[in-house]
Amino acid sequence: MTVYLYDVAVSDFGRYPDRRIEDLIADVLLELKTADHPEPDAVIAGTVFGSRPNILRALSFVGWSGLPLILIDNACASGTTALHEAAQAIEHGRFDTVLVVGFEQLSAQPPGPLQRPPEDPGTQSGLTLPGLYAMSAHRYMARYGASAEDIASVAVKNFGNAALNPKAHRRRTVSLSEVLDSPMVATPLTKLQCAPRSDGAAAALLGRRRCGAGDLVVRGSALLGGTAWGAGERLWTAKLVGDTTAAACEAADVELSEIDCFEVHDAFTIGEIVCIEAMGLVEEGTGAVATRTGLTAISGKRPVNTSGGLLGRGHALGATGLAQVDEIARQLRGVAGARQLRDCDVGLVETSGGSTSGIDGDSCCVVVLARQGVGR
Amino acid sequence: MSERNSAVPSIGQNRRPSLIETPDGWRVHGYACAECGRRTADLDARRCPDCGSTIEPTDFGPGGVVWSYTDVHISDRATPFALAYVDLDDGPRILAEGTEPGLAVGLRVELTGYTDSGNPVVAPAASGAASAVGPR
Repeated sequence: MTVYLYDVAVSDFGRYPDRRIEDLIADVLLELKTADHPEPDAVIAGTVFGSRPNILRALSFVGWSGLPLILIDNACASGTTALHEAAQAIEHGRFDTVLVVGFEQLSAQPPGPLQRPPEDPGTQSGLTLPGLYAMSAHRYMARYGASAEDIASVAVKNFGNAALNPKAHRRRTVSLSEVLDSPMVATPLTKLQCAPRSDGAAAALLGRRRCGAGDLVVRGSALLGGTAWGAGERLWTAKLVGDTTAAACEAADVELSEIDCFEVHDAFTIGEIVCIEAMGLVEEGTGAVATRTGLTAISGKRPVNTSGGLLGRGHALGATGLAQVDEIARQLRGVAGARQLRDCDVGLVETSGGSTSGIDGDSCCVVVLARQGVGR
Repeated sequence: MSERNSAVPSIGQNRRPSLIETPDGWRVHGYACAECGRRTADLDARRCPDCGSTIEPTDFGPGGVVWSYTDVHISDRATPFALAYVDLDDGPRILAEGTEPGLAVGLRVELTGYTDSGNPVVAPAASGAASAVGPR
């Protein structure tokens, strides 16, 4: 059975402390409401710090009350998980049309790195989220001889892409020295190698009935949880991202080599490098240099994070996954503006979430999207 | 059923590794899996996190090698401070605090006790030569 993605709507990502999150959500819901789609018969929403009243009130503000709501907290992967669950529910006949929503208002959170759960031993030891990724960065540098400059080049690329994205939080290009000279957060990661704390909302409408030629297809998706981590050589989340990508590609019946564009979880520069290696886009240990030499640029052979990624477009946790989906949808439909790739038929979204100690990432969700009529 | 390891000060809401001072230096309480060899310092573990088999209480340390590290510069706490994942000799990988910033991957370290906040502390071992981790 085919699951169609009718449309995606995403707010600007940025810092909006004076806007109510319901206001941001209602805007994106209205974009989907006015278009020519079936009405949803369920809502699946993702958020981390947001609340049930946020989404329920926003739904009522556009006249979408009375729908069953499933609210998901899967850390940074919440929005992607919501879309995966919607596709699964449609595929298995539970619902015909599902509205997927992701939202977050991180400007309402205390300043500094996002708060990790206080009951986690890593939190109790003072290991911040940037610190956790910094551990991967230092190990990577020691093991593969990569330089801090190689790793920081992810930020240069993704800021450059975000500068072409009118919805991005950080719409400016940066030089390598600017990235490296920005304030140190956790060695070797500087501030411009950490995603900004964004506010944003996003929504998507999926269903079983084909609406028109513009519909995209959810070719396949997968959601996996991280296994025990804390021994051996593999970097944190590498196994999880690799396994989830393989599972999604199998579900979609595509080879990685057939995928034209990728949106991956670059909450920190090293994160993108770990992702592209774990997925198999590049060989282990070569991702940083490959990035610096342009492989994953918009003009490169394997474009990654054309939206600007979490680093440039911004990171509004629950909304992030659907913003990634939005970028792939734009690329597939040929409406990505200055970021448009040529010949884009199949795209992949990968989102990792959570930092629970002793586990290889709380969860990872991968979604493969395609234009209609593409593939086997 | 494994015997539970009931060492202090991993009490109350503290989930960090539990250390004890011995004549041979500071050691970490934990468990070892008889089936797959996996070690863990999580005192609430009942079975091996990797293979699910029975685990036995074991102590580890005081020596180990820095698997990776970072100096945290932005935090609620006074900064910078050094944190490291330390692979204890024949033991689990634990998160520990360095006595000063600027550790290195592969550095030999030793447990030297706790910080006031309850973090295990490591310092470079007397024979602090780095082991080979470099590019291959």
